Amino acid sequence: MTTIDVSSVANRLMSSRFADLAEHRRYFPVPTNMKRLIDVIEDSDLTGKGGASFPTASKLRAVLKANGTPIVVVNGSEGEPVSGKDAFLLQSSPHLVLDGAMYAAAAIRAKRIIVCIKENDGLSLQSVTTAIAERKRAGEANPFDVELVPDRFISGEASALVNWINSRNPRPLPKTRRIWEGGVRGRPTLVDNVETLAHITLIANHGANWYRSGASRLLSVAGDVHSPGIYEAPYGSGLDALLDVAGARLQHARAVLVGGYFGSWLTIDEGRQRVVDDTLGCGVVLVLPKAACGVRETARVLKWMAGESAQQCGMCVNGLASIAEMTSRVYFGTANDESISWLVRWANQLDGRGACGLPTGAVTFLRSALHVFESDFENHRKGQPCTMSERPFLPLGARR
Amino acid sequence: MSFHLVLNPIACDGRGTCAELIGERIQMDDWGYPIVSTAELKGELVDYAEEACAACPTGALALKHT
Repeated sequence: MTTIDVSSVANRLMSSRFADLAEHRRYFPVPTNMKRLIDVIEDSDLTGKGGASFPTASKLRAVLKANGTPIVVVNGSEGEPVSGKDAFLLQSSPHLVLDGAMYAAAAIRAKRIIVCIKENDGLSLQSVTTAIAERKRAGEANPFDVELVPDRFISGEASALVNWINSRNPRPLPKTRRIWEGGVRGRPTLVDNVETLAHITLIANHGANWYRSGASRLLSVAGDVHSPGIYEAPYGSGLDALLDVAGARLQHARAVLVGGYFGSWLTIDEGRQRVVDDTLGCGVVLVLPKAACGVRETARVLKWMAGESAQQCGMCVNGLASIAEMTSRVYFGTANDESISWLVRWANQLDGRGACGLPTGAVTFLRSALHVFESDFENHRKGQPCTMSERPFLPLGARR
Repeated sequence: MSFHLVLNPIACDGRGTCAELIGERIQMDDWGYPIVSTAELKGELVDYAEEACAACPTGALALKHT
C-alpha cells in the first residue's frame, strides 16, 4: 500500500486555479496598498523560478533605480524540453500570472507589460488572450501586449528575449549590455519567469509572513514515474517524498536528473537525500530507469545542446561540439584512453564562459554525468557492449 | 580605483593577440579562444592590459575600472 506523505505536497499555486476573472478576484482582489511591495517581496525571500534563482527583490530594485520608465517582460518561453510548469500556470491560472506582472509593474512604475509565450504553445496563448479580454470587459487596466517567441533552448535567456522583442533576433546579448538599465526599446527592463510572477500575486495578497511560513514551488516531474506531471512541493521537503507521491520506483531507477539540461545527474541515494530548494533550478525532476543508458543519454543531450548554441561565441560553437562529439565517441567505444581526461579538461575550460549560461549549463550536466555514470563511461570507452536498452529516453525539444 | 579585463565573447574572433600581450591574465583554450581572468590588475599589468585592449582587432577586450 502506498501512503502519501502530505508534508511533501503543497497547494498554494495549485489551489489558485479559477474558472474566470470574477472567481479569481473573489480570492485575489487587487490589493489597495502596494507601496512597500518590493520590501514585502524581499521579506518573503522570493527567488526567480526560471532556473537562476536570483532574489526577485534585488532585480526589482535594480530596474527601479535605472533612468526611464521601465518595461516588464513576462518570461513564458520555458526552453527546457522536460519543463512544463510555466505552460501549466499560463493555462490554468493566467490571472495569477497577469496579476503578479501588474503588481511588479506598479512596484517599479512600469506602464507596459509584454507577455512572452512560445510560438508553438497555442493553449497558453489562447488562455492568456482570453484572460486579457476578460480583464478588458471587466474594465480593468490593460497594460498587456503578447509576443510569440521561438521555441529554442536559449531564447528564454533574459537578454535573448529582449533581443528578440527589439530586433527579432533570439540570441543572447553580451553581458556588458545591462538590460535592467537598457533592455526593451532601450528602457529599463524587468524579465521575470511566469511562476515567479504568480508567487508575487500570492505575496501581494497574503504578505511576507504567510508566504515564508510555507513557501513552495512547482516541479515538473518526469521520466520513469507512474504519474508524471506538475507538482507543487514546500521548500525543505524531501525529494524522496515527492518522488514517492509521483510513483517513482527508485529500486528500478538508474539516476535522477534535477534542474533539467542545465542541471545535474544524481545517484539514486543523492536524489533521495536532496530537498526541494533553489538548487533545483528550473524545477525539473526526472527519473532515469535502469533500462536507459546514462552515457547515451548524456551524449544525446550534449549533441542537442551544441545544436542549440546561438553560434555567437567561438568557444561555445567549438567547445560544445567537442564535448558532444567526444561523449558520443565514448558511447560508441571509439574513443581512446585519454578521452575522459579531455572531457574533464574541456569542462574546466568552458565553465563560466560565453555570453549566456549555455556552456556552463552543458559542462555542469557533463560533469555530473561523469560522476554518476563513471563506470558506464569507462565500460563504454573500452568498447564493452552496452547492457542497457538502445531506445533513447530523454526528450530533446522540437526537431528542426 | 581598481582595474580588470572584460571580454565580449560574441565580438571575439580568437585572433590571440591579447594572450601574447598579457599572458599573465589571458590563456588560449583548446579551440583558440581566450580565457580571460577578471582578477584585479595592478602595477605594470594595467599597462599590458591597455596594450592588449588596443591591439584587439575586433574591440572585444576592454579594461574596466570600478
